[in-house]
Amino acid sequence: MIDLQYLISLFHAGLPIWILTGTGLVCLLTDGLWPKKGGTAVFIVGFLGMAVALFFAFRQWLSGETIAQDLLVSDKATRFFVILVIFIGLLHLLNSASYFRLLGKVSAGGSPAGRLGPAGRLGPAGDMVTLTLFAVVGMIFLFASDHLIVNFIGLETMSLAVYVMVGFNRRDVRSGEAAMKYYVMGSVASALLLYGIVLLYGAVGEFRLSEFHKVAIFPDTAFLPRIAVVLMLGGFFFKLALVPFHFWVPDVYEGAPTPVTGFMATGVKVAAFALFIRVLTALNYLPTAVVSQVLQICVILTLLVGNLAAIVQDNVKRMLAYSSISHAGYLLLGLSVGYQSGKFDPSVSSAVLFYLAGYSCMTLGAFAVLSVMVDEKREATQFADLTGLGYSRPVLAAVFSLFMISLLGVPPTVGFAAKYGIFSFAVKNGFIGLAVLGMITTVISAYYYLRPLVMMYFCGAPEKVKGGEIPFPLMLSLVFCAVAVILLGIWPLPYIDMAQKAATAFK
Amino acid sequence: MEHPFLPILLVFVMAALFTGAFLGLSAILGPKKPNPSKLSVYECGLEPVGDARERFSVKFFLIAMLFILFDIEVVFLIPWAVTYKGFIAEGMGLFMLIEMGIFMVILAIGLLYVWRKGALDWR
Repeated sequence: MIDLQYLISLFHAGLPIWILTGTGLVCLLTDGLWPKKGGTAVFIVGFLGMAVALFFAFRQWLSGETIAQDLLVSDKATRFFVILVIFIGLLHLLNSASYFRLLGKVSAGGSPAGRLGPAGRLGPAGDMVTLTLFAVVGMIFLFASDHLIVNFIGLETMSLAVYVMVGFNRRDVRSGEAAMKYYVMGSVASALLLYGIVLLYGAVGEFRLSEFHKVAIFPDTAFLPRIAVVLMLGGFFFKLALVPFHFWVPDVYEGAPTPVTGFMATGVKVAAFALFIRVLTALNYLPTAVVSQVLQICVILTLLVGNLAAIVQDNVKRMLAYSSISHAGYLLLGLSVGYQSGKFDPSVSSAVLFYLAGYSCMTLGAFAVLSVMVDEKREATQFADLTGLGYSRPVLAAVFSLFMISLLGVPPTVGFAAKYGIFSFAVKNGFIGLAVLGMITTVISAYYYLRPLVMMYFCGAPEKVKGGEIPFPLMLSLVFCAVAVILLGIWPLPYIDMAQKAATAFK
Repeated sequence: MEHPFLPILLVFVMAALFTGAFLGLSAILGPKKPNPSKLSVYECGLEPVGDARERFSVKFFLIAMLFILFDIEVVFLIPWAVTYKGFIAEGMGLFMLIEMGIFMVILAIGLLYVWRKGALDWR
């Protein structure tokens, strides 16, 4: 007999997920029933649905008690990440809505699938909303469960949606190339991760991370979990864009439509880090001594390669791609200092959670600015395109400078508070070398973060005044990101407190 | 001690040996007297026209993908139908019916979407 109580608690545990899924289906239906002019309606429905989901996610956060029902886990950490990814999804909706209006005079409905004009057209604007909703649902499933197979299904839901979003700019051949590259590389990474999960199951007979402390590993089969962990790390490092697995990042980030790049650099990374922390915590119960060394080597490589390669880029999107690689390096640094005598202490992840929130605000803001930089049906994101922006569009240039300064980590912004948290944990736990390396690479990064400022203010006026209004949705997201960057920078304590509460749930 | 998977390895080895031996022997010992009708793709039937590796319209792929989608739906429906009686006996009949209904509705929305978007028009 089915238990009503059980159904109700399942409903409560996943309330934001159910709302988002339902909204996604309604969007699909709206878009299907009015394909000609559904775009705006779909956007409104999607935005409202996400806002409602955000409201309930906040209520769950405040209500406190942990619900673990079957395959769903709704603890403090999950709720923290749910709020974060829904925020990212909302900002992405705002960014992409105006981007497509600017880029293509795209008709709201777009062209029907299977009938592509010779010039090629942008994907239908309504589909972007639907895909965003499903991607966010995937992200939540990615970390709102302690069952590895459910995590994997979430990962695939997210990835499939993002593959399509990357190829959305059908007029631009680079967008298609990026989608193809991301799809092929992403499939390999998913296969690695899945193979690792399966081998891990073969070794311990358990898919549930929360049950790992009960399993016993026989010494003669200890090599199996080790292989499994290496494979899983490969899959994670790909999704997190860490250095041995970063080759796809610049091309994909450059080719994807600018708002989608922002979504990938924040949402995908946040979700993957959430699961990564969960997995690292569970791996404490297995004989996997190599993990901490692997992480440290990866941090060193990521910080050096990410920051040095960003210097020589001449496209701002490409530069931000390398910048996102190096930020993943700082985040991984924050995790790798949690290892004391071979065991991972999840309490250090509070600094990482705060860093993720701050990083999301500033990166989404930077990509929101770049989404405005559209010129005669093409993206104008070369460094040369920024020349004189400080005079032709002062507001835009000012907020872009703010985000650059924050990404660099200068005091009144969140970038400083976040980096300070990571480095102070590193020093406290005795990882002086890594902390020094992080500070040196931060200094190196000043070169490429300050270069746009030089281009905007000190390289003369632009040849032609590009002027133009900032569309209202983009203005909204810019203001939100800018306020968040400053607020989290000058008064970070309440948010660090939130992150600490969330981090205690990892155990 | 004998490994439990040893028989399976033996099966693989035997299979490789036998196929290799028979194919190899017939290649070495068999008489070879080719003529045009022996070498054609179908000895009896249509004459082949052109290469099989042609480019063909992307519409076929679209239809194939949609077919797989609804094929999978049936793949899930059949085991559900087989075990449904057991669920009724446990008093979970209505619950399982609603669960399957949700699944079908989601797929039906997808079908409606591709239909209205014109993916089923053969133009």
